[in-house]
Order: sequence, then structure tokens, then C-alpha cells
Amino acid sequence: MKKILIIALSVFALSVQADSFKSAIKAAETGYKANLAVNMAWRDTGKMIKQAKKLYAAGKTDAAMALAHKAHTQTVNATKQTALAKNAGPLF
Amino acid sequence: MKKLITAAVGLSFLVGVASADVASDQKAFINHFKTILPKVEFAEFSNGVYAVDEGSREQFEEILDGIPPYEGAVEKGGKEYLKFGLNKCASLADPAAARIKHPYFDEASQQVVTLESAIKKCYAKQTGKKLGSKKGKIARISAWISDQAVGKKINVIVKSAGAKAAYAKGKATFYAKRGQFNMSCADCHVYNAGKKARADILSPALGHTTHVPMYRAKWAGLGTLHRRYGGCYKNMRAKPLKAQTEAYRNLEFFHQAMSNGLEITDARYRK
Repeated sequence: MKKILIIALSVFALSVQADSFKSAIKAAETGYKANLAVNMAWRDTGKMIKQAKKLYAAGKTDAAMALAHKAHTQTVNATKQTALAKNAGPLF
Repeated sequence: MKKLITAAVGLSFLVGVASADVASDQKAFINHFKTILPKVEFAEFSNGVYAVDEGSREQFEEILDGIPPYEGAVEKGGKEYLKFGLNKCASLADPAAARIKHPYFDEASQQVVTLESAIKKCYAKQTGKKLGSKKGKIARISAWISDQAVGKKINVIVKSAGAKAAYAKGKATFYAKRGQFNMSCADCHVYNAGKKARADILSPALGHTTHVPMYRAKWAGLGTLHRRYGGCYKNMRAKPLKAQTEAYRNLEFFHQAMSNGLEITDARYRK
């Protein structure tokens, strides 16, 4: 009974991790796509997304999650820049 | 009749504002450089960073006094211009005029046409093949065409509503902060021109387009203006756009217009 419980909990934990990685990487990919469409993407975001997927496939879930979140944060900041870029002009 | 007069006055006012924008933008641009680099004469800005730094200037003059490393490539560009029949395209038949004419706003396509985009189009028409946009053949041919216009002045014309819109987009791109470093083209090449970034002196944006395509020691070869844009984007940690995309062509339209009145030079060596 104890063994079954441990296995069940492990499976549950793994599926939760998979879901959260999928949502994190999806958020990063969506943001990146939007940044690309307005020519405001950051240099390394695409590489981060690819690397996060590789890490996840290799079973390094924590590192993959961290990188996916980092990539998403970059896209959020790029979106903020896009909003400011509309009114960009000289400071003199 | 009253409506007609009102419309005519309104239209002329709009046209006036449109043409005044470029002139007033450039006036403010030049005044800024006069303020931060008071010792540099307007004509000298065509020499870029070498107009600012005496030490680098000596090295620059020594290179020009000898055989500049790009001389052979430019000559080859001249041969390629004929070999690929680029003289048969109306847009490039008179190379000196072609350099002065570009970039311009094409009313039919509602797009900015750069010299390199015209070369690419003509090359494709004559050979049935595609030409790159950043280095090699296109840079050599473009440099040779530009050499035919040495001493002539940059004169980008921004008149129509479409041209003004493209210019405004280019201007916004120039001043917009981008990338992980949250920097704009202007941050380096306007506000901090003449100052050091690590070991290098930042070149003034005024005059940037007088010597393109440029030879960069870093590249060990010639490269187009759009190749340089890509490098700047990377330095800001922004994703570079493809050379000759609309955004870069608009950026060039604004960038070249800011150097209106400066002479085109064949001194295309840069560090």
C-alpha cells in the first residue's frame, strides 16, 4: 500500500511539473512571437526557449523551468519597450 | 468655394509641416553635434570617429595614404557591375546619379528603395540569381557605385505623405530603446558620440552614411550599412532584422536624411 502511494504521488508530481513547464514555455513562445512580429525581440530569447526545451527533454526540469521563466520575462520586458517605442524621439 | 479654399490651405499647411519636419529635425540634429563636439566642422563629420579623435585620425590618414585594404575589392566591384550587366538597368545606368538618388521613396510601391535593394533587383533581372545583402559582391558593387559619386552631397528627399510616414518610422526606430541593454541607436551615436565605450570611441551618427559600404578592420572586408545595423542590434542584445527589410530601409531613409548636405567619400576604412 505504501509503495503504491509513493508511486502515485511521484506520478502526480511529475505530471504537475510537466504541466507547469508546458505553460511556462508556451508563455515564453507566445511573447517571443509577438515581439518578433513588431521587430522588438531580444537577441537571446529564442536561444533560451530552445535550450529550455532541450533541458526538459534531458530530464533537467528545474533548470528548464528557470530558463523558460527567464525567457518569458525577457518577452514581457520587450513588450514594455514596444509600448514606449511608439513615442520614441530625440531628447534635444 | 469656401470649402475648397479651406482644404487647399489645410493641404498646403500639411505639406509645409511635412517638409519642415526633416529640415527642422536635421537642424536640431546638427546643433546637438555642434554642442557636444564644438571643434568638429560640419564637413568633417563625413570622417566619422576620425573627425573626433586625433590619435585615430593619424592612423586613418596613414592607411589612406598607402593602399587602402578595400581598394582591390572596390575595383572588382566595378568589373562586376559591368560583368553582370547592372549598367543595363535604368536605375543604375548612371552610377553617380544612382548613389545620389538612393534612398528614395517609391510612390508606386509605397516603399523606400535603397541603393542595395536596387542592385539586388537589377542583379536578379540580369542574371536570374539572388544576391546577398550584407557583404561580398553586393558590398563591392555598391562601394564602386558610391565611389563614382565622391564629392557629391547626400540629398535625401522626403516630400509625399508616404515618404514622410516611412521617414517617421525610421526615426522612431533610430530613437527607440530595444534589446536587453535597453539602448537606442541614438544612445551611442547621438548622445554619447565622441565618448568611449570600452576601448572604442563612439562615432557620431551625423555623417555615418557618407562612406557606406564601409571596410571594417573587424570584418576584414567590406560590408553594407544594413550589415552594420545588424551588428549594432546584436550589441544592444536585440535580435537583428534581416538586411533590406522594410524597417531597416526606413531606418536608412531617416539616417541618410540626417546627413543631407555632407559629401560622399571614398574613405571607407573604419576600425
